[in-house]
This record gives sequence, C-alpha cells and structure tokens, in this order.
Amino acid sequence: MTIFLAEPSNIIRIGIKQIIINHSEIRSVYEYTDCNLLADDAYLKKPSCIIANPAFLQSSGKTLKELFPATDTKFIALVYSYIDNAILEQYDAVIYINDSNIDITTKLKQTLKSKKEKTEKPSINLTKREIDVLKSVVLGLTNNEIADKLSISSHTVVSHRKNINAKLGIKSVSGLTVYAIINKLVRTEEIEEAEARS
Amino acid sequence: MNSELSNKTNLQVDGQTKVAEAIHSNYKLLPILNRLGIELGFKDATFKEICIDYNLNLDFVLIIINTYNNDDYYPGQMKDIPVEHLINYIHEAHKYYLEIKLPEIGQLIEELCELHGNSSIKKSVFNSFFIDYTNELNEHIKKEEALVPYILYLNTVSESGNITDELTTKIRSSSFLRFEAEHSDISVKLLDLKNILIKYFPPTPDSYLKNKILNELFLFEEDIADHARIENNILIPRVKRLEKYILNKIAT
Repeated sequence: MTIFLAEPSNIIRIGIKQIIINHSEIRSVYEYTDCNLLADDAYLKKPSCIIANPAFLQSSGKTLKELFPATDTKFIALVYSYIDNAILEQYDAVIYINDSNIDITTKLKQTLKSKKEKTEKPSINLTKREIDVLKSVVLGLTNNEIADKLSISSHTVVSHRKNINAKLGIKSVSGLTVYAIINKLVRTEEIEEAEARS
Repeated sequence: MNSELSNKTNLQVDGQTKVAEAIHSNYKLLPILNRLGIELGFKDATFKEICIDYNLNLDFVLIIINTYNNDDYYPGQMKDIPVEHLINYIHEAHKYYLEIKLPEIGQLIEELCELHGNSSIKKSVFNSFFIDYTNELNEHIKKEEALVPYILYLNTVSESGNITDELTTKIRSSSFLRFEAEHSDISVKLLDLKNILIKYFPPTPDSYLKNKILNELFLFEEDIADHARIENNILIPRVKRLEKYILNKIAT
C-alpha cells in the first residue's frame, strides 16, 4: 500500500510521515514538494491514497477531479490554515493539525477501507419522481409549488411525500434535509440560498 | 404484582418495597430519584423510610415511581397529592432535559460530525437538525411552564376559599377541562434522528460513538414518553379536579 504525501512544510510533512510509519502498518510513504512530479508519479505508481495540503496541491485553482481524472486513489486533505469548504468537500477525509496520532491513523485506515462513494447507490429505492419531490421539499417549496414545478397535482405530491416518509422512516423536513445532503441529492449552498430567499 | 406476560418486570412498588430492589428491577428509575432529590447510598431503606428521611410525601413518590414503572398504571383512586410537589417534580424533569441531557447528546453529535470531516453533513446534522430539535423542546416546555402560576393559584384559592368571579370565568373559558398534553410533535424529530444515525449516516472512524449516541436517544425518548404520562395521567386530572372543586364550591 503506497501513500503520497504532498506538503511544502518540512516540519509537518516529516511529522505526518513519522506518525504514519510508527503507528500504522503502512511502510511506503513518498514525499512531494513538487506538484507536477506528484501528478506524474501518481499516474505511474497509482498510490492508494494521497495526503495533501489543498492550498499547495490545488494552488492552480483546479478541482481534484480536474487534476486527477479517472482515478481510484483516495484523497485526504491536510489542514492547518483556512481552506474553503467547497475545496474540503472534494476530499475523502480531512486531517487537522491538532489531530492525535490515533485520529490520523484511524482516518487513514477508514479512508483506505471505504468503497468509492460514486459507485454506491443509495440503498433505499426511491423512484425518480420521489427524488424530485424530495429535493423540492428540502429546498422549501410548498406542496402547490412542487405540483406546479413537476406538472402533477398536489394530491400526487402529498402521496409521494407519504411514500417517501414511509420508505425512509423520516418524517420531518429537517430530517429529510439531512438525508438529502448525506446522499448528495442537494448541496448545502442550495439549501442556504433557499432559506435566504424565504 | 409482577406481570409475567410482558417483557419488563413491572414491579409495583409500595411503602414496604426496598428502593434498591426497585432500581435493580428498573434502572431507568435512577434519574427519577435524582429529580425527587433522593441520593444513592440508602442501604436497605424502604420507600416509606426514605420519604421520612427526605421529608417527601410517600403517596406522591409511589405514584411517580409506579407510573414510570408500568405503562398501564393509573393512580385511580388517587389520593390528593400536593400540587406543589408535582409541579416541582415536573420542573426538575424539564431542567434535566434542557440543561443536562440535551446538551450532553448535542456534544456527542458534534463530536461525531467532527470525526466525519465533511462540513456540510456537520452543518446539516448538527446545526439545522439538532439545534432545531432543542429549540422545539424548549418552546414546548416553556408553554407548559407558563401554566404553572395558574395551577398554583388554583391551589391557593381552593385552600383559602377566596374565589373570584374572574377566576371562575377563566376556568370556564380556557381551562384544563379541554387540555391534553400533546407530545407527539417533539417525538417525530427524535425518531428521524435515530433513523438517520442507524440507516443513513456514513461510516465514521468511531462507530462506538454512534452507538453511544443512539443509546442516549433511545433512553431519552423513553424518559420523555414516561414523563408525558405523568403530565397526562397525573397532573392534568389533578388540575381538572381542582377546577371542578372550585366551580362546585361556587355552586353551593
């Protein structure tokens, strides 16, 4: 199992490497202070995971997907200064400067174990219509507004909502919101915009 | 009287029951003892003895404990337990929920979200959901507590006999005769939260933490449900009887 470590600060990079080597079974940790070299090597060596300082790795402004298209490699952000949430969300996990050894190795272990989220379907089978209704509910639309938007009657909307509640086991709008966010059906920004409008 | 049919051992306690035995039979009585002001370490004391030690009304304590112990328990021929004791007990329970239990659970949920590292889940689970729930419970409890002055006033009047026209009008128009403590609204969100944690929250490095949170939520839900029964089966009938008593006094 190979890990790449991309971090310009010697102190931090060497510190993390030591923690990983001393407290986990991983022995292969490559250090990088040059992003181009890292990208080339990542293509050749196909590391299981890249731990990187986002400010360093993505200084060009590109997303992880743009920098590393079509890869199975996991990415962990290494954070010790302000990093925008939109950037952090591209990573599979986040390591903070004040994390303990156990926090760090656990996050690493968990990230390496987990299946790539893209291939996981939500295991509850909501129909496409139900998903449309769910998204609208979570964005704060009334039943009538949803009926208009989807060109169905408001009775149908109510019926869809009842089915959604029953299938998911979630009744409150805030509960549905959490479900929608976890399953990436809506983004937090969309919800915040909807709240701001109301 | 043990019910052999149900899963719980529904120990019906009386003055001669040892407090320790009641706890062994149902450990969920522990916070109830706290609310009554009773501390552990009471050796083999019976309920009768402990009420003497703590200067508590035995009938009152037995009614509370039995209501918690047994879903079907209804005080029935209920002796007129002092209203102030009841109000005080309920107030202590409210304090426990708002000042101790919910913050504790909130802390655990925040810990869980930190571990996950994904800030939108943290924002939506913790901020919007749990804080919403806390606020709802807060509002619900405030509404209940707002009725306390009225109840205490009824009590004073029923003892002093000083019944004003204003009071009788108030009783007739907006009284407890029509009040039912509605608790289903706050239990919906709690159930949602449990389902989210059990079914949908992504795997986190510390699954023991999720179990801990769920344990707390299950216990909390049961406590609130039992508490609602105290309000519905004991407080409200008690207040309604006070009102009837006052209206009857006017009639004679």
